Amino acid sequence: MTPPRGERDGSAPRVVPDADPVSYYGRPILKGPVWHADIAWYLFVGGVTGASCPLALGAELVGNEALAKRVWPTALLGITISPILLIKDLGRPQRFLNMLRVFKVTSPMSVGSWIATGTGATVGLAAVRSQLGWFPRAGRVAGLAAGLGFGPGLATYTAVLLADTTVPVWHGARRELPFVFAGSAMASAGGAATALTPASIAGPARRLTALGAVLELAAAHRMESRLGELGEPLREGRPGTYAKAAKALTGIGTLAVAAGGSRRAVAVAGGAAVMAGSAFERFAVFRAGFASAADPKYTVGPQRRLVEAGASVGT
Amino acid sequence: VGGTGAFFLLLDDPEVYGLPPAPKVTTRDLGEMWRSAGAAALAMGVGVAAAFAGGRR
Repeated sequence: MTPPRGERDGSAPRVVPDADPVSYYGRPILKGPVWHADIAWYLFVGGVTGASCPLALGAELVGNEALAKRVWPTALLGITISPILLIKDLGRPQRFLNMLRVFKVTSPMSVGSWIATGTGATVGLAAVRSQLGWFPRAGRVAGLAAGLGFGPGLATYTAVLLADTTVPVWHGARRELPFVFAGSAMASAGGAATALTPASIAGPARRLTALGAVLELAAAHRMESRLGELGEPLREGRPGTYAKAAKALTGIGTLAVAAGGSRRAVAVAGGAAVMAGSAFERFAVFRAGFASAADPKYTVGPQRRLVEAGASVGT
Repeated sequence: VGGTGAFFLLLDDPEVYGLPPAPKVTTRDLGEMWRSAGAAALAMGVGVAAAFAGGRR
């Protein structure tokens, strides 16, 4: 780095040394995300919806119709709320229709708009079949499409949506983030089903809660340790508090569901705790992105090291 | 288009002007990201299957 001005021109050293030029008067280099909290809620709701689809499909396939009958409506409710949240962020409904005028693989937002639309159509059919018995064949096919394709897609594409930005903590977490979101989605969908279903038929939901929680916690731990200094925004300040709350609630809720899930009150409380943990995890990741974009050191630090290592610049 | 129409001569490190020193086009990693998301979606399928393998109800 350049020596302080005083030493360079031979005059007396200045009292205040020149700061390491991190950016222009410490101003952020990146333009931060423009999303509102609606999008963090959408990450959570999309997760519950997305993982509810395979759970409901599985229940159908093994003949546990009573469980399917309770999980499809959860997915339907979720996929009804999701576009409302997206439209709230976009400003007016027409803009969502505009999103559907193109399909562009290089834009996660475009892919996601189509995934959300497909989820809506298939979950709608599958839910109507499970409740009213209408469209028996189309409902089964729609259930397969939602459970095997659209649902898991809806729960994980949002990770790509965040990672395909220049926000350092999101882009840095691009490998682990889909697994964090997948685990969080499984845990919250399992938690919702555990809370809403009689314990006698909710075994798969309880097991899904536990598996999802383990995946969420393990992937989040791996993400944080691999990010290193870039992951600071996930540990400090408000996002850090959210992340700690997420881990505590997910852990406690999972233990409650696993140990006492056969008792109604425990199942409801445990399921709700796991859902809250999942929501906190999404908010932690979401808010950490803003903090990460606002502080120029996360933008400059790693890039400066690349330059100094002699890497070719501008790719 | 074609050819440099205009350019800016920076007399100091890009950071001093509020510019990133080694900007990156994140979309270059998009293939890796979609693969990772696909693997996570697959993991979700396996997880659900495992949840039902432990019993139907």
